This record gives sequence, structure tokens and C-alpha cells, in this order.
Amino acid sequence: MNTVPGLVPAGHRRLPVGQAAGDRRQVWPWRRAGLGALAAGAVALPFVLPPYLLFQATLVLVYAVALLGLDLVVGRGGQISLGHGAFFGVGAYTAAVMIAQFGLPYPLTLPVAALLTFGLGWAAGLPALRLRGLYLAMVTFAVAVVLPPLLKRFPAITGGAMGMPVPTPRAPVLDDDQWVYFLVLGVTVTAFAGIRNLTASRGGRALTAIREHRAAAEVLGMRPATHMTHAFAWSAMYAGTAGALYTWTAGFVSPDSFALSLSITLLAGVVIGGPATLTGALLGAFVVMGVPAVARELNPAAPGVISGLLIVLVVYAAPTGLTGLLRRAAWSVAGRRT
Amino acid sequence: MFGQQLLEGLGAGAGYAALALALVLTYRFTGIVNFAQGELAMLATYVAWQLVDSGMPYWAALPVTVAVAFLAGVVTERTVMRRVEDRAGELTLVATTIGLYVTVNAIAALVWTSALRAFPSPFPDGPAGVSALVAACVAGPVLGAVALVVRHTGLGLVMRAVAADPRSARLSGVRVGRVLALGWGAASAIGAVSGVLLAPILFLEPTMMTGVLVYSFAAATLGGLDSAPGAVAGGLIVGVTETLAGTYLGFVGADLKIAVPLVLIVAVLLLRPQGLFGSAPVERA
Amino acid sequence: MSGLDVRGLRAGYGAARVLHGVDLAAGENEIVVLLGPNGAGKTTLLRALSGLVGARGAATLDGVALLGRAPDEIARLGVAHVTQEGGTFGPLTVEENLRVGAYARRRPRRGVAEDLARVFTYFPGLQAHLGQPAGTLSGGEQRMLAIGRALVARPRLLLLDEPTRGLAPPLRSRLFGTIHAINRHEGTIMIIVEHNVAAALEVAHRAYLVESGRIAGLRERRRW
Repeated sequence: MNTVPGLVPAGHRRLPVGQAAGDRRQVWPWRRAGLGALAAGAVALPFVLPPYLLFQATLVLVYAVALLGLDLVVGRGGQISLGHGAFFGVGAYTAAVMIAQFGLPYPLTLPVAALLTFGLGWAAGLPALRLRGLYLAMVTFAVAVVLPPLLKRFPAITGGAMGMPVPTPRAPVLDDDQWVYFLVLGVTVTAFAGIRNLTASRGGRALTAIREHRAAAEVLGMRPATHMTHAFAWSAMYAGTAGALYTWTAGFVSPDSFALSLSITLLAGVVIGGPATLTGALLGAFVVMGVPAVARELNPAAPGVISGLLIVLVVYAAPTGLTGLLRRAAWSVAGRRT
Repeated sequence: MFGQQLLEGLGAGAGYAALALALVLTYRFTGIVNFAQGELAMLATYVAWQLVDSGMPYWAALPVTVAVAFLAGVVTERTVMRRVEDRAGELTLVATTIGLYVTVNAIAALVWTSALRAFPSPFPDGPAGVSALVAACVAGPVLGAVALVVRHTGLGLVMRAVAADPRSARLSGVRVGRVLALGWGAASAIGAVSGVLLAPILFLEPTMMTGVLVYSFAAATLGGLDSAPGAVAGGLIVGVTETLAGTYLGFVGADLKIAVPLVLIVAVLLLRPQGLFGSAPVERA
Repeated sequence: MSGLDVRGLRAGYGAARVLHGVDLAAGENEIVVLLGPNGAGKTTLLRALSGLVGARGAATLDGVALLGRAPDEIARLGVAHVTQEGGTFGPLTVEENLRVGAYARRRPRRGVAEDLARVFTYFPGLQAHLGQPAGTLSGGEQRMLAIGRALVARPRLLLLDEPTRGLAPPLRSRLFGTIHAINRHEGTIMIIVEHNVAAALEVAHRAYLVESGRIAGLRERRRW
């Protein structure tokens, strides 16, 4: 019997390892403990933070949802989309118009925004995704540039260039901002679970196969264009849902908040947080929140700049993003080789 | 009235054609679509404005600006693009040009602020259509000369070889780095022509060329991303279409003209992805 | 010191070391063949000589050091490398492909027409396709075009990586005959990687056996 833990000899007989072999060392359940702490912290947050910080924490969750979606395209699909700021904006305006102009109840805005942006994502992705990746970049670039003028064109519905205030959800219990926080938290958790399922599914594995070697994937029977378009539509839906949540949280929409620079900042968030990881979306959301805030101190034009520079830096120097760096740090602490 | 609109469209189209040509040239040399092409052109246009504002006559400032743009392109390639050119992955390449886009934009905003400025027209007193047409006539020979160089000189041959297979070109003794730098310089210079042509129509401000970039994407896609004549033809078509749509289609109006190129791009990609004159299959291998 | 002299060559790809100290020599007018199993490092050896892969040790051609230079510099020193992948410029015509080869020479513009004519004597099939884009030629024709382009450069050292790979048998023997003729008329030093042992040994002056990144054996012509 094998008494050296972890050593699995080759051959047709598999000998037991670890606890089954008699290893009684305690293994600390890192993962579960970590998730538990995170959950506890998340629930406790609104009772601990002052309203302004709670507002920012809620926005972090909102951006995390958007980044989860964008990551499908960028991290797992290996493509560039410069249009997710626009999908975010469409979702935000959908919710805004429904609530402010038509007085519809706010829960209704989520599915509507989701469906609408799913459809738009499909429409935008379909022509471009059969072709080289740069066509997607071009099309989404164009979409991002077109959205603000489009919104400004119909001021009767959208409130025009000055923007539109939107009543935020009223809370049956707790304070308003705490209630919104929990709503957003619920959607965020669902979103994370959704992405986990998506990526573990056939479709998710197909995406990875397509990204790594498109020709081989095709020979294996996958249709890259269909998978990619599907993934793009889902990612647009995530961005649109996040946009609706943004409206709930911020209570105000204006066309210039959803311009090209937002798309670039979201892209920076995915790249810096760590492509193709769940934690990357969360870390990236902090970047998306933090960069404009810090950058605006320097110069109103700065947020897009800093995002752009960070993208280049990270893609070149640390392609696995913050998540990759943190993982390496954690492994070196735990004594594992990377 | 229609004729007037047509002339205006051609004038704007010449500007789009120039930027589209710059895009296509960069694409043919390096396989990269340079998202920062418009911003480099914008920077050059500011330089031109600065020169004219400081007293230099328009027709003297123009060649100086083009020369400066050429140098800027060479420097950009040598410093920024050099580091990522050898790496595979469109993500890295496109991301780099996007980073370049925002950086150049920031530099312009920092130096000249975001204030709108009027750019002097070479023909201040003529009707709008005439100046546009003359501009097109100026641009035409320039673009034609470029085409000749590419097709028929040794330098052009070497550039095309580098575009086809940089590694084999290296093994044939070609100084690939120099050729690429030259290519970026030339593309940047042509982009400057675009900026200077369009600046009298648009107002000079840091985001001036972002919209133009979209029009030029449409032009390049319509003409065929690997076809230089296609880029020119595409530019003119886009210019005319945009102007006519803005005037005659009510719901488009002046603000939504920017939607025209988006529609064009989508239509071309759906119906004929290689564009009018493009040859290379655009499907990924 | 004339010819190619390589000592203690070490090369690899990042963390993977492929060559662990290779010594070889190729003198004036010689054809040297590299034989060995896949993964032995033969292609890496050629790449180290042409500068595509970084290498340490020493390699000199007519006394001039090759290592540590960029590939285009080495090409201009008179080294031509025809890779396994072929390396023709697809969108360029056959004639344009050949003209690119002239770029590496010290006196580029003189006598290009004569060089083209010479190439056509070795590869008559190419002349028929002069104005055609190289990408439309068959695999074998593209291979010959690549070698022809290398010849236009009038190289001192010609590196051929599996020149007969994928060619039908009659073409193979014809190509070897042409290689032999080129060596006799031009005096080019050649290093050829081949799996076709019998055919290679017919033309080679010397054969090296490469195994696991080292020279495992050497045969001179007189011995077989």
C-alpha cells in the first residue's frame, strides 16, 4: 500500500492516495472558507458602510455583471468588443424609459433590457463573427460611436443630451439604498452562477476550443460562427442587464455616460482583472470604478486614457491580469510550483 | 442643389478616402487595423493649425504637416508597435492600437484643450462645393503617386513582400523593421492629408477624427480591406451617401449621419464581406 | 579560414533546450547533409545559423561570426535559408518573388536578369509561370521557387530544410540532381536536412547524424 501522499504510480492498478491511503493530515478547505467569508461580508456590507460607500459598492457589483458578459467574448472567445458600453447604455436607457416615461414597475425592466440587448447583440455579432476578429472590433466600435447621437436624437423619449432622472426602487423594508444593494447582489450572484454554468457547458467548452484553434474546432463539427454569435448575444445581455441595474442604482442616465470611453474602460476591466476568470470580473469592476474616479482628479479627459494605457501595459506584461498575479502569489505562499 | 450636395459629398469623401487608404496601407503591411489612425491624423491637423496660427501660409504649412506626420508614424512604429508586432494574437495588436488611440487623444487634449477651433480653409470665399472638389483634386494625384510607388518600385516590392511574409522577407535580407517604419510613416502622412482636408468642414477638436474613423472603416470595408483603390472608391461612395442621406432622408438629419457608415458596414459584411474590390478571402483559416 | 565552422552550438526555444553543443564544418564547395530522427534538432540547427533562433557558442562563415546577428543581417552576409514551410510570397508573382531575392546581394541591381536566367536553367518549369501569383503554384513548384529565390541572392551558404518533403519520387530525384548541379556550377556551400537518406548520401560530401541535440556520427564521402 502506498504511504506517500500524492504519489500515484503509473500502471493499470490505481493505488489510493490522500485520506484513503491513511493520510490524516488536515487540509484546510480554502475555497469554501473563502466563499463563506465573502458571502458573509457581502450580506453585512450595507449595515456597515455609510451610504456613499454603499453606493460605490453597489456600482462595483453592477460593473462586475457587465464584465462577466464581456469576458465571454474577450477572455473566453479571444475577441475584442468595443461596443459593450453601448449595450450597457441600451440596458440603462431601457430601464430608464420604462420607469420614468411609462411608469412601469422596476422588476419588469430587467427581463426587457435583457431580451432587447440579447437581440441587439445577436444582430451586431452575426455579420462580423463569421469573419476575422477585427471586423467585430470595427462593428462594435461603430455601434459605440453611434449610440450617444442616437440617444440625443429623440429627446422626447430619452430626455436628450441633458439626460433624464429616474426614480430608484423604493424599499419595502430597510433603507432604499440597502434594498437596491441587495437586489443588485441577488442579480450578481445569479449572474456569476449563470456564467459558471455557461462555461462548463458544451457551449463554453466549444468557445475555448474555437479560441485555441478555430480550424480544428470546425473539423470537429463545431460551427464557430454560431457559437461565437451566441456567446456574443449572451454577453450583450449581461451588459444590458447591468445597465438596467445601473439605472436602479444611480437614478440618472445621460447619453455621454455611455460613449466609447465606457467601452474602453470595460475592456480594461476585463483585461486587468484577468480574462477567462470569475474573480477577474470582480477585480476588474474595482478597476472600472476606480480608474475614472482617480483619473478625473487629474483631467476630465483622463479616464479613457488611463484605461487605454493600462490595457496595453497589462496585455503586454501580465496577460493573466490581476487574477493571475494573485494566484501566483497565493501559490508561492502555499508552497506550490506555478 | 443636388449638384451642390454631390460636390460636398465628394469633398468629404476625399477625406474619408485618405484615412481609409492609410488604414488599408497599414493593414497590408502589418495585418493590423490601426484604430489610432484617426487620432494620429488629428494630431497632425493640430500641428497644421498651430503653424497657420503662428503665421505660416496655408500652402507652406501643409507639406510641413505631412512631413511631421510621417516622422510621427515612424516613431510610433519604432517605439510602440515594434514591441508587439512579433507576438501573435489579434487581441494584443488591436488592444495596443486602442491604447495608442486614447494616448494620442489625451496628448492633444492636454496640449490644445478640448476647445472647438475653426480650421482655415484654403479657399475661404468660394462656395462649399468648389473647395471640396479642389481638395479632391489635390488628394487624387497624391494617392495616385502612392499607388505607383507601391506597384512599380523596388521599395514597393519589398513592402509587399514584408506584408506577405515578414519572416521570409527577413531571410531574404530585407530590413523588415525599416520597411514597417516606413509604411507606418507613409500611412500616417496620408492620414494627415485626411485630417487637413476635413478640418475646415468639421470643427477642430480632439474627438474630431473619431467619427471620421467610423466613416473610413466603412469605406475600407466597402472597398475591400486589402485594396487601395477600393479604399478610395469606398471613401467617395461613403461621403456621397452620407451627405445625401443627411439632406434627403428626414429621420437621419444632420445628427444621425454617423449611423450611415454603421449600416453600410453591416450590409457589406452580410452581403459581400470582401468588399467591392477586395480579393483575399476574409474567412479565418 | 574558409567555409562554415561551428563549435559548441547551443540553442533552444525559451525553456526548451534543443541543441546541446554541436560541432560541424562545411568547407569550400561542399554539400553537407544532416540526418537524424524527428526532434533531433536539425531544423533548429539551421535556424540558429540563419538567426531565426538565438544561439550560443561559435559559428563563423569565412571567418565572419554569425551568431548574435539579426536574420536579415545574416542574409546579407551571404546565408540563404529555405525553410520547411517554403517561404514564398503568395500575392507576389513568380518574377517578383525572384527579384526579392536580389535584395540581399551586395550589388543589388547588377545582373538581376542574368540571375533570373540562371534560375530558369535549373528550374525550367518556373519560366512558364512568370506572371502568376506564387500562391497559385503547386507545392513542388513553390518549393523550387523558394530555392530559386535563394539562388538569386548568390549566397555563400545555402541552408535547405527538407527540400524534397512532400514531393513525388520523380520530382525528388530531379531536385537532387539540380542541387548537385548548383553545387558544381556555383560553388555554394550547402547544408541540407533530409530524411531521404539514400538520395541525400548520393550528393553529399559529408553526412552528420544528429540525435537529441548532439552530433552522434559523421561520415565522409570516401567511406561509403
